[in-house]
Amino acid sequence: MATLSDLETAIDLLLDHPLGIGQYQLVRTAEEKAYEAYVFGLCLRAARELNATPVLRGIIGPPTPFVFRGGPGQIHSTLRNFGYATFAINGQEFEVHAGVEFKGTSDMTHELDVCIMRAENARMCRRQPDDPPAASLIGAWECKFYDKNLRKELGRAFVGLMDDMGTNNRLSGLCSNRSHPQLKDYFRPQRRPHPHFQLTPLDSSNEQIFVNVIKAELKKMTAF
Amino acid sequence: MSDHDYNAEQALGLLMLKIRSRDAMLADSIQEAIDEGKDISETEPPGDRRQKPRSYRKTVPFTHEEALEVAIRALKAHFVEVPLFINSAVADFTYSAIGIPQQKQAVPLIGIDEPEIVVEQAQGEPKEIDMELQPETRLSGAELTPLRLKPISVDRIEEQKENLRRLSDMFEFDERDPDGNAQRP
Repeated sequence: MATLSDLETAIDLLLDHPLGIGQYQLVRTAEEKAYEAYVFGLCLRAARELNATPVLRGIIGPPTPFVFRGGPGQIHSTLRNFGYATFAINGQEFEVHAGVEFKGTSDMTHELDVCIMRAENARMCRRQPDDPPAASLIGAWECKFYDKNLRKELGRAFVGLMDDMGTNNRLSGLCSNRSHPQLKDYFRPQRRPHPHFQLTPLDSSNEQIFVNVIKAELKKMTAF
Repeated sequence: MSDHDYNAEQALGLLMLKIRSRDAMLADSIQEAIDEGKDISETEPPGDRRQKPRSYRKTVPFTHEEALEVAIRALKAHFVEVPLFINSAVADFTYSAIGIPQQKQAVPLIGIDEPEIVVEQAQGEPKEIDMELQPETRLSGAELTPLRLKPISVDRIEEQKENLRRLSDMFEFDERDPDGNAQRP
């Protein structure tokens, strides 16, 4: 039988642990970014599992360190040495970006948390500064770290965003460590983003599904 | 199931008090998750025999036991999942190479859409990953130092998992009758 005093001790142990409140206060401003970095890493993993070598690059020079943007930014921005990754499969080159703005079909720009795009378009936009066109997009993912149920409006906003990105992109999804029962149904119709819910290292099968979806699409695209 | 000398309401009160005393922002976030409540399906009995019962969605508050589960899930997200995201990203970056551009030529040898020539290095070696904490265009205020993602000890993560499991066990309650006697199924 546990007493109130036992409970107090157990709560203190959890909160005062090195990965408790102290760590939370250290990283809380970057929790969402850490989730983006995780999804970015899963894209690299998909490339690696197709026997490609992901190469980390910086816009100005070698990515040491590799810098994730603190907010939406332009692909050609050189204010910092922002990082991106490249990989090639069967002679076709791709780039992975985080927090880059794309030009929608309406000409309005949209930030994509994590995306895979054609490398040729990315290079062009760096050399002749411009926002990448919607047609250069292959996969786009909205990344949401939540400590509670996802909010419905996130799903609605992302559907609207992807609608403006035209029909050339092959993959899109809302990635989150949490879920929402109604959003799953909302994403069910064809051409809607895939609900990658409970995408977390605590569920390796969901991770593998995410990686496999990317692999399958890249394989299809690069088949001889 | 185990019985305790406190009930779910007291446990929730103590947990929230302890969190709030250390970090009000975290306590607010967890309280928000609890206050969202939950959807249930309610069935309305038919008016007469010819009608079918009608079901509809209804949002109701969590019970105190459910609120404790919500709080545990929120704490797990911050104390276990975030360190795991960092470790996963660090590992996936380790398996990638770093691209070092070859020295720039006086006259560019490549066309505008041709790939730059890079030397791949450091595959399999740990990489430094920085998170900018503010938009690049921010003009005012002190510049925030980027947060460097460093791998987190797996043992520490396991300890926190165990701490959460222990707490979850202490949040399990027997159902009791109005006299306070435990009722086991």
